[in-house]
Amino acid sequence: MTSADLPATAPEIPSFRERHASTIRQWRLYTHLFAGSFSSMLGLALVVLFLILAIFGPVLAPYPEDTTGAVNLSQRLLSPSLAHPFGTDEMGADILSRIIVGARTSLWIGLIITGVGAGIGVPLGIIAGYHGGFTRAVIMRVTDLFLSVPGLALALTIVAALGPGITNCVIALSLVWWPGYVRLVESKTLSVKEELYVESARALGASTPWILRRHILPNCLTPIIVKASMDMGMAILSAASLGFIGLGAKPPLPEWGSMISVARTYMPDWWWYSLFPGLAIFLTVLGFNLLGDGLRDILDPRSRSR
Amino acid sequence: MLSPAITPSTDANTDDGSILSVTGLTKVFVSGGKEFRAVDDVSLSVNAGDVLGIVGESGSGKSTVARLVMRLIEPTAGRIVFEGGDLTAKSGEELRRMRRHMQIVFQNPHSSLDPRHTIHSALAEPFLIQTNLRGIELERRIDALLDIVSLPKAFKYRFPHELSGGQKQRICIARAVALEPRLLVLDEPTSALDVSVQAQIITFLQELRQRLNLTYLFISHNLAVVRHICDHVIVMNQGKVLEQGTTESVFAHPQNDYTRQLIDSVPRLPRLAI
Repeated sequence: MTSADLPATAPEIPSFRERHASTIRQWRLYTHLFAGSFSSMLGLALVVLFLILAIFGPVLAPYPEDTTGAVNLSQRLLSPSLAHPFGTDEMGADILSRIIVGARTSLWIGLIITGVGAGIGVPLGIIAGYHGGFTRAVIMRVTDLFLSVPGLALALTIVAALGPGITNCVIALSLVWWPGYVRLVESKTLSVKEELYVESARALGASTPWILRRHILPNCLTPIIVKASMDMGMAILSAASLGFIGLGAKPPLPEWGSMISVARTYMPDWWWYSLFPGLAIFLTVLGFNLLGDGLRDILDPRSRSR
Repeated sequence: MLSPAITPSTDANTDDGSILSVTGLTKVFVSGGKEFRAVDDVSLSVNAGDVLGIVGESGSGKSTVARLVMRLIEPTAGRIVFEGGDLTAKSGEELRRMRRHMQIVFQNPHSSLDPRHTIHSALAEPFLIQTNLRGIELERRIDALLDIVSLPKAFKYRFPHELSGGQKQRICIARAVALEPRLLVLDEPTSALDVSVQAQIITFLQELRQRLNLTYLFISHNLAVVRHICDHVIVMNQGKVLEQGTTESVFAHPQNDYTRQLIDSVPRLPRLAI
């Protein structure tokens, strides 16, 4: 092909819609499949509700001052009413307000833990899967070591060593969260790197970083997105668990786990105090799990029958 | 074995017209403690502008030879000389730059294109990897490639799964010739395609060779196709070269029992068998 073969005119670039017709069609199909599943839509609705609460929490809360430790002893432990739909706690604070504002804390916890976990795990998994040999052996043995210890127990030890507090709680959970990603991405990489298009890229003279970035990572993305979505729920639950045993957020910071931790001493007479934060955790985790399931169903159709 | 491997004539390797010469190429795969000699002491030589065919049944090591010649897998022993340069001695950046001069088209077009990349992105990849062409010039090159393989420009924005097998193989060929290589290794380029499309691709490959002045290393188990387009033929079985020579002489006067069996096993429909 010499320059004489090249078209003389500049190539015309069609409109955005024309150029991305395939992608648009693909997304329409995804949307259609997703919208057709009740559980996926329920999951999406719960997650969207949670995100709205997390973003606009302080504006939406009926008694914002109650979330920063205001004490109102005349109103302690009121049962649910119109003024306080979820009742009040032992300090007289409105539980609904504290739950709404607590959503932001939970979102941050979930995002950071999942983000750091994937941020460490995905590169390690890709490198282990692509290179094989000694590199893989080292990475996978360390991963196995971490996986063989129950995550929450390990996180508990780390928090105990660092000292209780929400920051340390997030650090500890992030540190135990990555091995799952290494496992997932390594096995996916092992199958993707055998594909002919990877060999074809090598034949073109592509460097290893190019192949990893352009071919391996995009083709491993589906299970990563699904796992990340489900892990959001699990991370929030784990952080709440640490809060519950007193190693996470400290009052008056509104965090669902630590709210239940205080509330359990008021069971069963003042049931609303622990029920509503518990319900918040339950619905959030359920939402992320259903969303993850729904995403897996549309992105990886082979797993749908299971 | 039916007969000992025939060693190549030495003058073929020293011939000045030779673009690729391979001597003593051997690949041993080790799995579960057992050794398997996939390619055993293979020597061959391709003259510039020629088509060398490698024929043999499944598992005879022909595809392994293709991958070894392309340096996609490491040979256990042997020397690969491409345009006077020893390819086996090259590695890293040097090898990476060499690759633009020799390209490969794989057997299965359905898995040789990344499902997550558009045709545009697949065709841009060779230029992005090996050249500094970007922007409008890159677009023109991609359009020109689509012209060469006679596909409409609108295909640029499609994904591989929206194309037929023959169209995908054309895209793979376009990718392979994008950097104007001098040697094209064709590893059973038509065996995954419908019979009608096979003929199209073969005709197209012949036109392309004349137009771009290419040398082909054509690997196939389809003897009719090999007879049709190759100048020289190598017959392989169980990793060894059994016979080699001009297509005429090998097909007309096979010296080896295995070759004779192979030729006799072709159904007698020569005009339809391409």
